[in-house]
Amino acid sequence: MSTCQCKSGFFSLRDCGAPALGQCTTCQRAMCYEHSAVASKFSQCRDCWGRSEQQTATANPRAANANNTYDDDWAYSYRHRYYGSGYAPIYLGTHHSTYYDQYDTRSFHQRAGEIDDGSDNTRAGFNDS
Amino acid sequence: MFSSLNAFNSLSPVLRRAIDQKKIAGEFTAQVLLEQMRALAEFDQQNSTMRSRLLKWKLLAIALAIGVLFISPLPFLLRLGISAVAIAAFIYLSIITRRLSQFAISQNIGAVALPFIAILKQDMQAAQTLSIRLDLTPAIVSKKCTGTSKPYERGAYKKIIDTTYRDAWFDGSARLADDAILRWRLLDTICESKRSKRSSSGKTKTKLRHYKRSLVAIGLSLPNKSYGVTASASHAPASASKITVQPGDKRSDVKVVRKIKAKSLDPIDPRALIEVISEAYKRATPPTRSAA
Repeated sequence: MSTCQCKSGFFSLRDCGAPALGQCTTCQRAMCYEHSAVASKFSQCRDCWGRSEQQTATANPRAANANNTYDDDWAYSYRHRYYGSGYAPIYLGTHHSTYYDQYDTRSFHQRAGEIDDGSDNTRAGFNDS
Repeated sequence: MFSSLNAFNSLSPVLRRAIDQKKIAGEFTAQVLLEQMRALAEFDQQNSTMRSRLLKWKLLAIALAIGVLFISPLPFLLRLGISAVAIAAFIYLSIITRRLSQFAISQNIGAVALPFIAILKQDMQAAQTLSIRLDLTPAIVSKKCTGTSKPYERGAYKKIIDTTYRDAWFDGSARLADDAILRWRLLDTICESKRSKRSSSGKTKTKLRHYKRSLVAIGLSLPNKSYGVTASASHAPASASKITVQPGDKRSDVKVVRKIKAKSLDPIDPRALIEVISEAYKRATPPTRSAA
């Protein structure tokens, strides 16, 4: 069973790792129940829904939430806007995804072009050149 | 008009107690706390709308009483009767408004605490609890008064009396999913300045001004096994906050304090709290891959 490819967190990001229940229709990533946007009727992940909301929302947390719910959909939408304002979260996970590259996350100096041999022993791995 | 009273009675005992005691304190999971705060914010919004509606009805009742009694061409006894009914309605509405005012809570809960906890929840494990103390009393109440100045004179104002209030309304701590420990504290110091001056027509006019100084302070204790810390943030512009970094053996502490000035009693922008935590995280360096 595949696991959710979305990242949790706000000030720092981490892997979700929960069992995936579906696939986002926008980014095609596997997503769990917690990362499915209720507002999109569970067809989009919360990240993609948050990005699509960017056009209508402002940087003020109160402005985009007239009904005072401040639910998880709102939090992901706000997270996207907040990262867009210049905050670069630290990524503590291990599964690097290009999806979050636009946020300029601070993490290991390992990018998509590098090869992870799956071993913790990096001295003997491909990175030791 | 009874909808607010009914809404209060339909709240859970925990929420009714929170409104009666005007505080939320204890250990909660973020989800449970958010549900309570949403219900309280919704109730307060409904209550506030009802009170402003009642105020309009009260004004209408008193205008009707005066208008009918002194202006209307109706027979005197009828005018007297209508005025008496209007005055009775005014008194009744005043009693209801007073009762609803007892349920009034600080706007800070819906405007600052709720969005902040909604964001903090994202950085917490679902079962992890956070500890909070949230004062729901409005800032301008006698028990928060710290002093009143002697009347003094300045410029056109012949009598100025300043009353200061100290409102430490929100503090708490939480262990985050990255094992960092976050502590926060929000403190408002309000100066209510009552200024009287004599106009050219000889009447005394009094103005009420409010000056608010908000202190937003956070402490972030970062585990050294996950993070390093630097004294200065990379790629960050000059900060409006005071930041201190204290490296330790197992944890490194970052403290950030920001002061915000305002000329109204409106709640602070929740971004201020989010930004001071971001500033602390900007001092953290990403985990380094072990060479061993």
